[in-house]
Amino acid sequence: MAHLLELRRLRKSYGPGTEALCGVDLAVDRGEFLVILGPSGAGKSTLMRCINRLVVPSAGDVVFQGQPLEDDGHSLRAARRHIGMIFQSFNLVKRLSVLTNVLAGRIGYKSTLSVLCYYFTREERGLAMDCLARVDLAHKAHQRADRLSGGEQQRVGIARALAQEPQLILADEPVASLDPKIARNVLGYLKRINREEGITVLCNLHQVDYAREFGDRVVGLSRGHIVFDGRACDLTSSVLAEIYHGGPATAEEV
Amino acid sequence: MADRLPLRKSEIAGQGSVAGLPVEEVSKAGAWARSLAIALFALVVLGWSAEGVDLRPGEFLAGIPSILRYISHMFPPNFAYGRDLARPAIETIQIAIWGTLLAVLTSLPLGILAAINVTPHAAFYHTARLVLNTCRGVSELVFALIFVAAVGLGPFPGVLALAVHNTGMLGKFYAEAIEAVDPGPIEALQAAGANLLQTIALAIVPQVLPNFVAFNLYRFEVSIRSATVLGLVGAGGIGFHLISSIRLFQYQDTSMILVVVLLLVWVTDIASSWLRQRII
Repeated sequence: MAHLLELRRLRKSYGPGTEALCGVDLAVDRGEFLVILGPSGAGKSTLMRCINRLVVPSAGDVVFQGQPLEDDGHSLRAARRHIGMIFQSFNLVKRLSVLTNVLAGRIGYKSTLSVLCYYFTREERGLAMDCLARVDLAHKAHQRADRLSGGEQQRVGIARALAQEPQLILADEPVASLDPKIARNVLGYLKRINREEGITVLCNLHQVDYAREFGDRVVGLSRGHIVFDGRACDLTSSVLAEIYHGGPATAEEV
Repeated sequence: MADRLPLRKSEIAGQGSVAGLPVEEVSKAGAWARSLAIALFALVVLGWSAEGVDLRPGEFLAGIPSILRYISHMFPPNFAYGRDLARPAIETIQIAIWGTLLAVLTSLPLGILAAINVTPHAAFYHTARLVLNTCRGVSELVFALIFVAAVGLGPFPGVLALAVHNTGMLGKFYAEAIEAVDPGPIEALQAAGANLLQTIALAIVPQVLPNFVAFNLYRFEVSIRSATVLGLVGAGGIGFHLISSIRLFQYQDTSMILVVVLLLVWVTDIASSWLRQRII
């Protein structure tokens, strides 16, 4: 069966000597909860942004649902609406209501004119309310986004991604700016969405504890190389040393 | 002469201090020398400018009595004249309203093109900046002269002149406000498949709206002030009466006009600060 997402020899360099990704191969199947684990600067964020081409890769292919992603505007936007994204700093429009922020997830499906008029159909509003209910925030729909706590804002971020009715959710350090209790709560929502709705989740994390707790499969990234790909329970201390301190195998791989 | 100072200071510091300290002292002395050089340069510029504009404090002091005489002629203002001023005063406000509104419409697209983070192409960016700089760099009085020649005397050339000048001002404000927005929501909407216009509508507009309202109100206030002098070149408003009363030595009429101008400005300030608090 074809993979949902395939990365082939993906490279990204931000200039000579600053290789963020050094030829990453990765295949992700439908329904996986895949944690990409690695220290800051390992290239996790670049990897994620290369998938939906917020960052244009220097070389290599991203194949999503069997189609290679191209940079031409129309087909890229069409692909992007099936890929939800969740950000470390939530990236909500602070002055808009929670509901409008969730409705913004529909933007890829809408005409330019209807967005310029802030026009959303009854169905879209219903869907957005439903997405909010799935993260238990329906009661805050009409508050301004910046009135919510950090954890709540991130749940709105999840609801916005859900409103896209995505095949894949990319979560880039979704809990890095939240305290541990709230972080587990937010990751719990992501996990539940993955389990109950079968939406594939790719989640960047730098904390080993969360990776063990929430990841089915863990990919270790170190200096732009994949140095581990296996089950969360196989994260031994020597594997972690390689991910976090770049063991000898990493240097050899180039 | 200025560079003797650091040398001497570093020598002194170097004599009885541990390693590392002299370097710090040298840089301190360097900073001193730099401040001194800047101060000297500023003095030279000030002196040069004073000579250029022929500053004569003595003659100003000698002229004070005639200034006072001029002012005394203005009292009391000719309040009866106020009735004749109602119409031009209202016209002044009307000029400012349209001179600001038209500018809002033209400067929105220009401001978007002149914001480096949303402009579709560098060519648009540079062209928009050039247009805005030209509109801003030329005074509204100069534009008024041009438009009076083009469309004739009256308030309409005044409106056009204010609109062009305000376009330059507002466009630059808009561009800077757009450049200062939080890029996070922009990224989020692009990731969800938004195109440029959709991104602007949903991620940028809500962020810049309060600033835009504040800029527009501010430019409206400034336009009221500007519109009071547009009449000097025949472009409508109360300025026409101002210049004729001055030319005819009708001091008490002049002072009445100034009273009306001050009232206009004062009322606008109150109204716009009330609006600002309401909207933002």
